[in-house]
Amino acid sequence: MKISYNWLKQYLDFDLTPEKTDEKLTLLGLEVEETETVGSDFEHFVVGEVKEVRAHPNADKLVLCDVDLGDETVQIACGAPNVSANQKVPVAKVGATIPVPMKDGSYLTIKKAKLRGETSNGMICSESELGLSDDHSGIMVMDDSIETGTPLKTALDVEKDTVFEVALTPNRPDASCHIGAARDLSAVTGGELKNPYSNIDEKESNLNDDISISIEDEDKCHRYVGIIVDDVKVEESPNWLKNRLTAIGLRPINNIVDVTNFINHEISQPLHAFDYDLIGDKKIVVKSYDEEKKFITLDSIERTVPAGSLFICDGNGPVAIAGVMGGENSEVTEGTTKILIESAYFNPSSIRKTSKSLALQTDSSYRFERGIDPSIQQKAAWRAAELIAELTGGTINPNVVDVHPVKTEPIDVALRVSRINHLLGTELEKEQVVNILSKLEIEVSSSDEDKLTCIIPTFRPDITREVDLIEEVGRVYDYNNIPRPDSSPFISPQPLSDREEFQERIRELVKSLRYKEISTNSLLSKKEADLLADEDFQIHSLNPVSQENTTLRTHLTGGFLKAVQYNLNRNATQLRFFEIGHIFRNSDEGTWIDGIEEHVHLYMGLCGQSKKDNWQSDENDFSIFDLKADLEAVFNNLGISDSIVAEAEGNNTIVYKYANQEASTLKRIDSELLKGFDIEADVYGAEIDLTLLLQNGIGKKEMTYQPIVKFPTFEFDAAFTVDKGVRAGDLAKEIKETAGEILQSVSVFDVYEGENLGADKKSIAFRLTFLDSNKTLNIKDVEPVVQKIVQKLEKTVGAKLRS
Amino acid sequence: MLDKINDIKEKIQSFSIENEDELEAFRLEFLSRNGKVQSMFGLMKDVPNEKKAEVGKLMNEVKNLAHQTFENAKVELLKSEEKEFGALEDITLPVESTYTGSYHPLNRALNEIKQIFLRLGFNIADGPELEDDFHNFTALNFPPDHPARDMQDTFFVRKSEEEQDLVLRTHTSPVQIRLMKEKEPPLRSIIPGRVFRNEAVTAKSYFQFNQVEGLYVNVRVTMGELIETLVMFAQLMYGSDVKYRVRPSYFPFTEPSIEMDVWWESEKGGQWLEILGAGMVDPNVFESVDVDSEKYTGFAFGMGVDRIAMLRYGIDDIRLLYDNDIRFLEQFKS
Repeated sequence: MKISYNWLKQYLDFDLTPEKTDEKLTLLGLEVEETETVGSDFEHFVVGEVKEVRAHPNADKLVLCDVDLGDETVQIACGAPNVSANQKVPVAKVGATIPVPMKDGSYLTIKKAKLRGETSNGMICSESELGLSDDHSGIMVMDDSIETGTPLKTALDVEKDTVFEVALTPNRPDASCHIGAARDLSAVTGGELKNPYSNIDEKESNLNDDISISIEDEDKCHRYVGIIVDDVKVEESPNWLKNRLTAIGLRPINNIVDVTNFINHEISQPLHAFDYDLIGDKKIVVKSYDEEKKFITLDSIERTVPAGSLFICDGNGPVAIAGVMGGENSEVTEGTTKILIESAYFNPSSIRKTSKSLALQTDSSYRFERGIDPSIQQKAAWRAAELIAELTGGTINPNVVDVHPVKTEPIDVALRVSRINHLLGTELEKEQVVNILSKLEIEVSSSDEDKLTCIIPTFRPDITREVDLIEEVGRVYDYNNIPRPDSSPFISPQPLSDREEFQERIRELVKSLRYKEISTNSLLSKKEADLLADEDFQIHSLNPVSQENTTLRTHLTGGFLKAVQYNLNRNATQLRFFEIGHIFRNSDEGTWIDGIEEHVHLYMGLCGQSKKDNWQSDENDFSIFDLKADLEAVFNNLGISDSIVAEAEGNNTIVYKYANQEASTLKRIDSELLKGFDIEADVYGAEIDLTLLLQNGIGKKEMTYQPIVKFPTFEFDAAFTVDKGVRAGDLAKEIKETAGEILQSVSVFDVYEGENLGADKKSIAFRLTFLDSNKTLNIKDVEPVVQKIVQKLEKTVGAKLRS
Repeated sequence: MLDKINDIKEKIQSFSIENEDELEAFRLEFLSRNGKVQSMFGLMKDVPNEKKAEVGKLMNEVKNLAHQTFENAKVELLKSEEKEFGALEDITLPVESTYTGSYHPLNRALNEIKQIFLRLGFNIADGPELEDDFHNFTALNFPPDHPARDMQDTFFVRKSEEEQDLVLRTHTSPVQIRLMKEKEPPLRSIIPGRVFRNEAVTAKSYFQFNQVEGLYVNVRVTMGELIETLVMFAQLMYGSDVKYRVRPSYFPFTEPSIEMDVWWESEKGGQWLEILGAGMVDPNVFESVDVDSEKYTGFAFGMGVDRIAMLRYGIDDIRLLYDNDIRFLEQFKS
């Protein structure tokens, strides 16, 4: 919404500069997003008379003109094709600054110059150079009757103005006009608001023989006022009116439409003027239809208006979409001689629905959908009628039709001064509060000790509660003036939640494992989602922003693979990524919302080279075992290595279970998935369900120091020959279980296949590390344990001890 | 006697030590148990008492000289040895610096914010990204026909007559409702998290972004305290000389509502930049979670992490935050 500085001054005397006004409006809650200077005061511009035009001796495209400026006659070089003697023209004298910026953004100031050897003392201007229009085909030729030497500002009747683009919050319909903004300003400047509407008296509705008006849909139209003006002459508006409208970006049309626009931006009452002679049966019916309607609006576009939208109809059918736009069939044109002025109150949500479904926001719908003053309709109609009569020479029909089925009365709201100070942290006195409210035209009807009864004017539909009044007091007082509290009464801080501590611990841990954190999309394409989970699990957006982002991620894998693909395409060679984020699945149980599992997952993934080729070593690619080691480091740091159970699924996946639930998976990403994400490289990924671990009480970080055993460890190497199908992991597990506590760790130091073993055999060499906290172990202590292991492995998988 | 001592001194000085063997020879000749220095001290018994001090001093000088010469020669020998090295022992051979892990810039910025509010006594809470209508809209005092409830602005996951609508949360504010339902005041938490708006992906907009919400509910919480808290945040985040202002605004779930701007200097000149929205918890919100709004008051605030990160690191295209280009991620070092 645009507010003009000059226009504001019509209603309030204040001595703030445009810059200060910008700041004051913003601090009142009318946030000025942009400030623009429009027009010019045309200092050093006059109307000149071209006396003589002669050829320039040194330039074909220039002529030399003697121009009478009133007090002197000067020579000016000019290149315009249309210049000729006896024209009245706008002249920028030496010292004038052209109000329109040049291409580089700077402004040209006219100096005495020599053009191709001939002096030039000024510039004859085109309309575009003066910022009056886009016309730069030639110089502007002015009316002969203008006296030579008249300052251009006077001749054009223009002025310089500053226009504020205000981002209006939805709670301030009253401020969507100049009187509203001026009212707010008066509250901080102390000036008296000059409201032209306070002198207008309402008249009894007098059913008029010339027009009948009825409202069928009273829910959507609370009031409809009609006034007729006869004998109007449709012409261009006077300059003062055109200046007002052009300043706020409106195109002047004619003296009738311009007045309706002026009133709308003055008091926020959208008006419509019908050509009376085009109203069928001389009747207006306000109604909505149960079916869709096609209707041609005055911009000559045929629109399909949804069922339930409110229309203004005459005897033949719709003549306007109520509150949005009038129809072509009843538009005021040059030939119009009699008009009906409509001034109505329409239900905000009805207008919002219609405007939204038509994707058509007008200055009118913008105000109706916010909620205008339901009491101003008749006064606005009278003011419009008077202005139109004045500008068009028309005659106002003294009868007014005012159909007003739903009346809105001002409401009373109680306000405690103590509550203001309680909520704001201020120490305001009752007098200050009453004074602020009165500036906003909120009258205090009664007050006892602390409690004020406030009458809320009908132009403030947003104020219904005490807290709304407190906001009014606060914003006028200016929140920046609230004293800083003497002390900050922080409540005793609470411990961090387990979740927060756990999640941040994990994040730090994985970073210390040299992973880089990524942040990927929560929404994937359907195609990508299908590669990762069955449709049954997937949750879709009903209104996706694009087909790329339709489905909520069921795993973090997809986002990781997209990041891998993105980087491989850009020749990255070493990718070690992690992410912590939410995943979403349909499920029987719900995490937060019934039927939706929303867990926090950790993803760790590798692709490319773990080492680049250099003088120390050849290049080395990441393998699944690099990731496995990192994943186990995570388990180890969480203290769950011993309670997590690894189960291989085929040879590309290990599922890690905690308390019999799937806590993590480690994968060589399969070729189908890689193809789906357009990746031609080996990729490894591990996904860990942090929510599940947290639910199982892993979040608590409790650490106790264990005394260091004073005795040395005893190592024993044992190689076993087994069938190729036997899993090393199973053997290690078997060894651990058989040996018991004395066995500190098991590692594999060699894996070997060879003909000497037999075609379907392999050898796995284990290093067993024993430790006893009470004594130094020797071979005699260890031998019986090793024997037990050998027998067990032989029995279960037919393993043979090699050495 | 003095001549003997001076003789040893001269021998020490003229001894040539060019290699390990000569170094050992020097040690044997002068510093071993039967070496010249030790035997020199044997002569002490023949020195008359009145001369003992003078001779002793000289002998000590010689002894120190022998040790000094030995140590110096040893260091010199070591140095000359190091002048010869194998091709792979060249300590100047270039290496590749070790690959390090890193946090995403969004998390770095978030961590800064978290650390500030932890210092101001806030806890950290969380909630779901997929929300129901009650938490995301109704309880937060959004009227039924509020534009945010429109398909144009919000991602819907379920929209039906029988059940509550489900949406991807449009802000972190629904967690306020969850906190107040779960626990009696006092409450003092921030809530970081991902939120969603139905917007196309461009340099300036993305369909997902991150917010930090704050909530403080207690007896006698005032707007003055809210502003004080926000000022402390702005000063810790942007420096103690940050220029700020508070101006009225509007949110359905706070009344009065404010926004805070900080003055931002850039190449284009200075301007006010909105950094957060805030306000006093609206009584209707308290009512929806059965908190007595006469007894308790509270404030809430919310800020965009993406925007803060972009300002902080001079990132001019929001898509960089979600492309995960390693050349981008690498710039955010530990």
